[in-house]
Amino acid sequence: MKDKTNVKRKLLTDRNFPNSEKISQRKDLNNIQKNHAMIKKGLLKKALAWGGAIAGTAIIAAAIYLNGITNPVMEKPVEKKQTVEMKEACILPPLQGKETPFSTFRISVKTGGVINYKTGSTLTIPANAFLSSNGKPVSDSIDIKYREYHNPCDIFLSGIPMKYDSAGTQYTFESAGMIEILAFDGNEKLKLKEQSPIEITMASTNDDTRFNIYRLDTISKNWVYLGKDKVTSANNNKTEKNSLPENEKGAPKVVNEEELITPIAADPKKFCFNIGYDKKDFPELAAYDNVLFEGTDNNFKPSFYKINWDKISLLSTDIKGNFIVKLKKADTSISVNAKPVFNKGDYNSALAKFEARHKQVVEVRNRAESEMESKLKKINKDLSNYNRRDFIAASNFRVNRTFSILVLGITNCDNPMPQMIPAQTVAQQLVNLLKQEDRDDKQLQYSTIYIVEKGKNTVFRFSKNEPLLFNPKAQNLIWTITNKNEIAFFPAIDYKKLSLGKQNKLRPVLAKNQETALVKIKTFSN
Amino acid sequence: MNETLSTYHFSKERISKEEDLIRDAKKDSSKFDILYNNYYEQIFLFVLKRVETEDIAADITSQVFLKALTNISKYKEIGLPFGSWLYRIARNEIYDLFLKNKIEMVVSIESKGIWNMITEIGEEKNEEDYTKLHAALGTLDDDEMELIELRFFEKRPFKEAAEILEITENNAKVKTYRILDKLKKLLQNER
Repeated sequence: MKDKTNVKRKLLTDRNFPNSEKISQRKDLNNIQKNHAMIKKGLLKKALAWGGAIAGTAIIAAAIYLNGITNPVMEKPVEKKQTVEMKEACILPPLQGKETPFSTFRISVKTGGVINYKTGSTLTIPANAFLSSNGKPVSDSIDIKYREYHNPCDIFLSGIPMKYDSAGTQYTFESAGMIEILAFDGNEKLKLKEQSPIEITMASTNDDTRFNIYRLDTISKNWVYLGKDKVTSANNNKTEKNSLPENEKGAPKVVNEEELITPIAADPKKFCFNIGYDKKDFPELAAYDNVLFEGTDNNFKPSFYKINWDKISLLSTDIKGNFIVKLKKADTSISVNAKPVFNKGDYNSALAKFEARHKQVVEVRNRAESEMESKLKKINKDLSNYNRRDFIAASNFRVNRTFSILVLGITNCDNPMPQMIPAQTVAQQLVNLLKQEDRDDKQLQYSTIYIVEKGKNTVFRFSKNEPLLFNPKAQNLIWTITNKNEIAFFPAIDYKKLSLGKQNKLRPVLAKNQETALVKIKTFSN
Repeated sequence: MNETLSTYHFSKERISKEEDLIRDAKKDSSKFDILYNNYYEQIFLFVLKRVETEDIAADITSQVFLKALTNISKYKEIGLPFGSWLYRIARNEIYDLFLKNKIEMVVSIESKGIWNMITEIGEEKNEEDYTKLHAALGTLDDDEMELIELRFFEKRPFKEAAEILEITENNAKVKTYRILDKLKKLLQNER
């Protein structure tokens, strides 16, 4: 967006605007097409230099053409220079050797074939689809190397960039599954012939249709949009789950602590009122009886209590413990900010309920964590031999996503998410704190910070010089890799308690070993 | 508040059909006509609400479509209507014009929108507040005014306003409520 500083404004009230017919008379596509043709030929630029040889719109058009370079919707020219260094800079696995391993399949080039991958995905390879890198025919028997990335831990370990630039706007990809396919004749890397697409039916845990297909261009270091995939129900008899702990498999359901509202005693100096609501709609209040509401702004006047309102509704807000009461009568509508409070008699009872519930939450959580840990131990008897197949089999591949590729390499099924801009101040503060910790502890040095948001299948990567962007309302797991290849987690942050000038101790804690840390990342993102 | 049904937001199917049109236009610029006809009126009105005359609006609208046609090969479908890209170009063109020529930008205000704002901030409707709110709008900064314009005077859903302003929907909501709070305080301070 252009810098708008110093734009003066004039307010015009209730203007008359032309109707569709009149607007339609303004259309002038022919002129636009003519100018477009001139721009393509480079004539418009010359015309401008000659000093007004072309009048009106054409001159304006030339100005656009010449100024276009500053417009954010213009894409930067793709640099065609190809070097090994650029390729390496595009994909940077943070822990060498920990990436998802390739599975290798030998196929006949002459006949092609269908490859079944362990996740349930299938690759349909047409006959005579491959050429050597210099365009020569290849042997009949070649190796296909294939792997998939399905969760934030896979994405983290792959080092594959998840940022996407579209017409100058930055997005982060949320993935519904990513594949990488390569072909080799001996040690020689092969390419696909033109018009020989490989059809991929990828198993996916995400059935949302808003995802698109993108190919990673390692030269331009950006993703290339390919189109939409076809989503179909998996309906397969998949491998029996070698279960990681899941709630539905008997682990105790964790009560959401966020739902608990801390009881507050009513202020005797302030006016409070009751309001009817369905407890099902407000789980945060469901445990309590005789809840009253106290206005937290000056909107509520005691006289409102005497009015027979047509409709009174209670709405939750993003702020815990804050509600909006909407009062409506005829064409008058009033919104009041209010918080739940309790009369003296009810307060003690509410507090007791709160404490009992809190205790229950802690107990259930501890039990769940303990069960999760023991199940993990059972599944991964030897963490150093962690079996990826178990993890994949335990995943819930509900759908198949089908698409074709014309170029070997990495293809991703993605939904571009706008860059998060929620708590800039808090985020900046956090960066400062992290840096402070770095300065305090010279033994623990790191350069990249990784964030996974619960429920989002992606990894946000930030260098220490970038402001961290994250969703403070979500559960985030934040970690880094030290210069000794150790993984260190930052503690869960109580964002509300962070304040400038305070020396908050957010010391990253080293994980026992890499495998333990990877299990933690995997289970968090499940 | 009442929201007019926007012609800008499409179903997924319609976005997908539009992507076919874009692909056709990328291959053959003469096929740009369907996109042009689909969006001309809404882009023209978007521009006209920010400039003084229909002639200026028509010129800028032509520039927007020329720029879109010239750069359509670089356009990437991301599941949003093509219009969101056109709005972004239009915003840039409008600000370019005003910055280069140092002339006043127009904000087209609707009385209905002001009454809706009064309701939204929880005040009772009266002429005095209407006048004060009208005056208070002049104190908003450019970003705030732009959001109020889209939301209250053009009656756009938050999702659409957010896409035009290149912010998240949630951010648009938070900002709008902050602006309304600010206006409310201004009204209350003047009593």
